[in-house]
Amino acid sequence: MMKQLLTLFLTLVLVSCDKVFDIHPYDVNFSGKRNINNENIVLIENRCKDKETLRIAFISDTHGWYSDTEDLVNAVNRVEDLDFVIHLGDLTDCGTTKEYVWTRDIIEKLKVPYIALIGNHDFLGTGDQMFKSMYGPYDFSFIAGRIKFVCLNTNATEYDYLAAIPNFDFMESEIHSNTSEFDRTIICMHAPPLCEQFNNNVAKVFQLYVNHFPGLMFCINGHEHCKNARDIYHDGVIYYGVDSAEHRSYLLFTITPNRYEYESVDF
Amino acid sequence: MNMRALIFSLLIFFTNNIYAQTDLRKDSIKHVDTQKFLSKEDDEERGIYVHPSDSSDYDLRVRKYRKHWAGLIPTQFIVQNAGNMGFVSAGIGWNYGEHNQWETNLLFGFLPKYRSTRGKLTMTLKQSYIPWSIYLKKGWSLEPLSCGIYFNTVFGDEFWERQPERYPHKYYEYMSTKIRANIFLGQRVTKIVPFNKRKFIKSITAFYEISTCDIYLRSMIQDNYLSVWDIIGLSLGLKLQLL
Repeated sequence: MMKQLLTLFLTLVLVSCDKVFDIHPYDVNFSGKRNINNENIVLIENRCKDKETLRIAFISDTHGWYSDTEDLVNAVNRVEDLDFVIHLGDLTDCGTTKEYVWTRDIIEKLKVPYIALIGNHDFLGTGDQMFKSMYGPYDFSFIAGRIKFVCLNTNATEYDYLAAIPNFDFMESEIHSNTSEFDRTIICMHAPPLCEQFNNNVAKVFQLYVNHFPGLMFCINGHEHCKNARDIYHDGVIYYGVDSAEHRSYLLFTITPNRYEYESVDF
Repeated sequence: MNMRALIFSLLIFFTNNIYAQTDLRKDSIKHVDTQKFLSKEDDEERGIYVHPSDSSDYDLRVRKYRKHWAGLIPTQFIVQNAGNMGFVSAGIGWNYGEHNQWETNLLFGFLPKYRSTRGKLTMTLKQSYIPWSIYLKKGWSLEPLSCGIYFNTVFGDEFWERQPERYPHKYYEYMSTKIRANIFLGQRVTKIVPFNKRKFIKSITAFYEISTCDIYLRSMIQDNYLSVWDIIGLSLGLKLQLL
């Protein structure tokens, strides 16, 4: 009897561990949903398989603005016929495990599936390891309604330019893989070319690779906390900048077989 | 705070301490040998700090010097879990002040791997203030409040004290991923070991602490979405009073 009671007590203590006891801000010790991107990509691909018109909300830079993020999620949930949401990075401010969990628990209230990119703030401490565990790889792609969404890690400064960021091998393989399943491409990233976080040594090479994607529609980025639409390389490829949650706006794209429209929504 | 300098000075400080103690014994024996009028029993009775009344200025000075360093012998051993210091931390400490109301601890902690790439070591410098101690009965006493701050550092090249040079000026301003300032509030209960049963431990204290760190506090102040319950954590510990 005593033994069983002790086991029960110990189990309860261990279960309540990561709620009651704070091990360390950068402990990467959390419960709840993991591997979110991979799970949601399956949902998105099934949901959008034969769709001709896609509606996508792009949100970004939620940082530590939890109330604003909550309002943002509510605002996005009011959009009709929305297919999915893309978060363009900087989920957290300091990359701590708790911040990731707090942010996840708000964004999980979205009614449609969402995916998230890694931002430079998300790298701090063990933040990069946390992102990998909670969301998945830093570079990834998926196909929704014959459009390939290529999501790139462009936070080169975080690696002190020592890593292959942006990853051209990945871009090359994405240009050539599954070409029968998509006709158009949208490229998502956190930091845009020519900003301080990008490896500007290869900014022109990046332009070259970007332009090789079949039916490139546009590129979209976060990081700068302002909304804009720029032709960064003067080559006709528009880079849309998505504002931060603090500034209470996001971009809503409607993509039809021949064209796309977008609106900036304030909430 | 330069951690390397801190560790180094602490190391020197403890080595000195040990030397001081061993020298002390040798010296007192030598001292007795040269003064033949003292018997062996007298020597044992006198102990370390007792000295003949005719000691020189040098002896007085040496004694003072040793007494000074002896004050730095750790008086306690503590072990506690969580508290943003790792899974478990253990270390030494000193208590001082008129009512022993101040305590300083140096702790080393272990942060397990969990879902990261490796386990890590942490180090904590903790300062506590215990304003009251209430004697209950039968050797039990209660300390209704303990409070203080502690600075924690985590070892590993994932973390930096100040933003490395690769970043533009003031990129991650006021940010350190390596060093955290924490505050805590807690309570304790102490059992004093009776004189006839004492071996090494004078008293045992069990305590709990509620703590939070600077990042969480800032998050809560910045946004009222978070409540106090989101940012605080519990820590349980034991303190063994040695001296």
